[in-house]
Amino acid sequence: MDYFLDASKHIQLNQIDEESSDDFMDLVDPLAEPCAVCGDKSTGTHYGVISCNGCKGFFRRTVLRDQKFTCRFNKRCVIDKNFRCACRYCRFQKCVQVGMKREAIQFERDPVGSPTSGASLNGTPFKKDRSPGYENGNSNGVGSNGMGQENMRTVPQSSSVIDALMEMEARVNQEMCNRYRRSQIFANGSGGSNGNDTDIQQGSDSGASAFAPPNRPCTTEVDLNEISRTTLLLMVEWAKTINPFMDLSMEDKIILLKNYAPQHLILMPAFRSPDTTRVCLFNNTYMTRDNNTDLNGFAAFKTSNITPRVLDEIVWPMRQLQMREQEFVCLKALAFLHPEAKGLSNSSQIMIRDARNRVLKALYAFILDQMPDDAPTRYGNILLLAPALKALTQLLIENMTLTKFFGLAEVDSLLSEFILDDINDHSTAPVSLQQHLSSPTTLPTNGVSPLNPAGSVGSVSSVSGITPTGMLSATLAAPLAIHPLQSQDSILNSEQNNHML
Amino acid sequence: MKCAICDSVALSLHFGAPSCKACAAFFRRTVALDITYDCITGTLDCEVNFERRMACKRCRYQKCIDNNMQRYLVQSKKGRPDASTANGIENPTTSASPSIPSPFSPPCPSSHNSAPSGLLSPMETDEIQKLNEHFFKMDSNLNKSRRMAFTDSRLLDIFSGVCKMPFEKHQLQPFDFRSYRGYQKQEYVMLFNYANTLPGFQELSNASQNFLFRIACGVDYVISSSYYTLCIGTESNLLINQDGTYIQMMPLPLMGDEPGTELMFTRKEELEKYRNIIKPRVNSWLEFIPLFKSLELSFEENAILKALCCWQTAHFKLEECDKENVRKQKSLLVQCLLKFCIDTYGEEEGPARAGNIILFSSSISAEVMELVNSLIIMSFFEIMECDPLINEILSTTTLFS
Repeated sequence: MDYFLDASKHIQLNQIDEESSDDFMDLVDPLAEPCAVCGDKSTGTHYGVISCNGCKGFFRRTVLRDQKFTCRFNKRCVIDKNFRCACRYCRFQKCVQVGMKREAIQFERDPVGSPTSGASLNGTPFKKDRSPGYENGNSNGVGSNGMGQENMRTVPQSSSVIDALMEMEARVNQEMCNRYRRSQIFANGSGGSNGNDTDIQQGSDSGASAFAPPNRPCTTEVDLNEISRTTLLLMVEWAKTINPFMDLSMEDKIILLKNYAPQHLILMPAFRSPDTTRVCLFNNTYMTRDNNTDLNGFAAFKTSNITPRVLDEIVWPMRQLQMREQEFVCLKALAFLHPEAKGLSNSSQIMIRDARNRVLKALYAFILDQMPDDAPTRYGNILLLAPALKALTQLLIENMTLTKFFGLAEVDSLLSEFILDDINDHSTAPVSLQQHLSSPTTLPTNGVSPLNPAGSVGSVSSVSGITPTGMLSATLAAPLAIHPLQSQDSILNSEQNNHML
Repeated sequence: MKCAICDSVALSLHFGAPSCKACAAFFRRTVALDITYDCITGTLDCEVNFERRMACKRCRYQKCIDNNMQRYLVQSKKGRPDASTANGIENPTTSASPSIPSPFSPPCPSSHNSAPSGLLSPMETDEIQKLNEHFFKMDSNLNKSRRMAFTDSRLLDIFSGVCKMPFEKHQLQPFDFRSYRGYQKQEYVMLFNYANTLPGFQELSNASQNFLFRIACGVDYVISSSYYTLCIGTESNLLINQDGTYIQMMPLPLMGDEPGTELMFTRKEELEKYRNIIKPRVNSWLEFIPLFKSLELSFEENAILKALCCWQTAHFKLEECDKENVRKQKSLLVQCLLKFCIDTYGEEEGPARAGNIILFSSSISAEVMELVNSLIIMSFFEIMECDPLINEILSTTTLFS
């Protein structure tokens, strides 16, 4: 405490420490002298200078955080009671000028923003007492889908929900990359062109952009068709891992999938592609269509209205928020778990709503943990993407309906089944017919194509999927996913193309 | 000390003038975000007091300047989270300092958006609370207008307290499709007042104001009818319209497609009118209102959801220069909703509750589009003799492309 003897004009013999001296002066002898920095009512001697609590705290914060300020004026601002907050540079300079000492600050006491106590939530609109320590969620290894579901049921912790979603997202992406690697091998074999290195993170984009220049008309159509089919089939596999999808009845499963499929086709490119690639992909595709026929010009014109809206309402907010992958997988799950989908049974609505609430809580807890100050705004803005996505879905469906109705382009049958059959939703019979129609397509392909080592893993996954639920239409689609690139399948689909993606 | 701007309680000086927290925050926001306002009446002489301070931002800001608030005292946006306004109250020694926020990320440039700026920073709690109360008041005033227009309630009853439900059961009238002519002119006046007091509405361009007003008519029709039905209609199987008329839903009325239905009508046009009016209502009763009911919205949640759906449904059709304002308003609204839900349901359940309500807005937008399509058909084929204003409203309201 020697600094008191050196700095203070009045020696206070009774002082033991700063805290005690505050109590002493407040009770017995409140000082009449004003704050040496701003002239406000002082609360004693702090850091060697008679000062108020405001300037004392300001000086301590500045030193502890080692902050640097700049003066917006001429470094001669007036520092008084009313305007001391206007310029922090001049205020700090005046603190030093009147004699406040850095070394007088006791660094071991009352630190600012100590990591052990966690970030203070004073500045946030919503105050929350968080549990001490970091919540360690159970991370799923390379386990089966059943394991993930069991974990979500038994331990409904927030982080475990996101971990399970992230696990399945990584698995689906891995499968997508694997298929595109085989796609390039197949294309190389048939086209005779040299293969390109595949970036595992951007397999789909590299595949699409890499093949467009060398062999535009033929390969582009096949490639886009495969992108569409693969995306939808992997979506079904992804949906099977979302609890409580497998517990629903067949009709409710189909309703959820059809409700989500067009949103999936918009969400995946929006998140994975930067703006320029997105624009290039669309322009490249439709430019090709324009060059081919005039009829496709109408389709391109009709479809062109959706691209600016996707960029404005989906891609831009994602980039602006710098959306993380954890937040993206939650948004996907929230779009999928839609209890308001028309035709769902009451019991299914209750189950889906419960699952959605778990994802909502997990998302909010994640955002609150990452950036507590911005949690309310960020949480709300991410959720606002869902209504915008739904509105775009209506536009996408209308475009595809017109395209198919006027015969402007051949629409992939699988895509048609997933997206366009809402017209027949009034009765269950046409839906059943659609399910049966998809089966004959599967059986010949399955019979003709031999299994390959890469496909065996998928086969095992399909078998495990079939066992608990019996013979399902969605499951029958899974074996088709194993052999999307076989020659038989290629011949069957050679006449089809999909310009929607 | 009294606030020099709105005469409410002021604890200290802010930016050079005695002011309350709300006016100080308003001034800081105006300066930090570099906002300019237009006077809602054009006279530049609006009254600014505690009740009216949110009406005209231009006159409120001018009054701040006239009472010696200084722009240069507002901290720059960069250091805003650390700043504290000049405060005469002594801070306790043991108070914790505000945390260091994550640095403000620069906006990502995009060729499709000119000069994008970051989404709005979180607001102070009391400012959000006042905004919430504003939305509640907007809806309450709309309900009071309906009570005055469609019931024979006494004036004393109309002006007392918050009006959450304009009708009582005994005041309902049966719906008569033959005399139905769509919205009456007085209802457009009510909704004009509603849209006019919507925060952010005054800052839109004229074309965007025009479009948002039309959307507000559709959104209010869907939400108010569903909310009134939820309050007093579901137990008796009555679907209640926004004008106090009801349609009995048990047994379900004819859709107009059943064989032999044409025999019940004297003219073919009458059958067409019946089909276009009643069929959407029956579909709404069977599909949409059960979903609305499952949410069990309170009056306050319903008020915020209505404002959010107006902005959300109109977003893609507004002028490009207004997109930024729309994003700001939507961001404010989700903050209001989240705060209300956390205050009501707690830290654990509140965010999920708010999330469910936000996600439900997509169903409302879809319902609004179906309503608009139905009205366009009736207007185009002249099935229903409508007020001329509705034809003007429906023209150019093509929600698709």
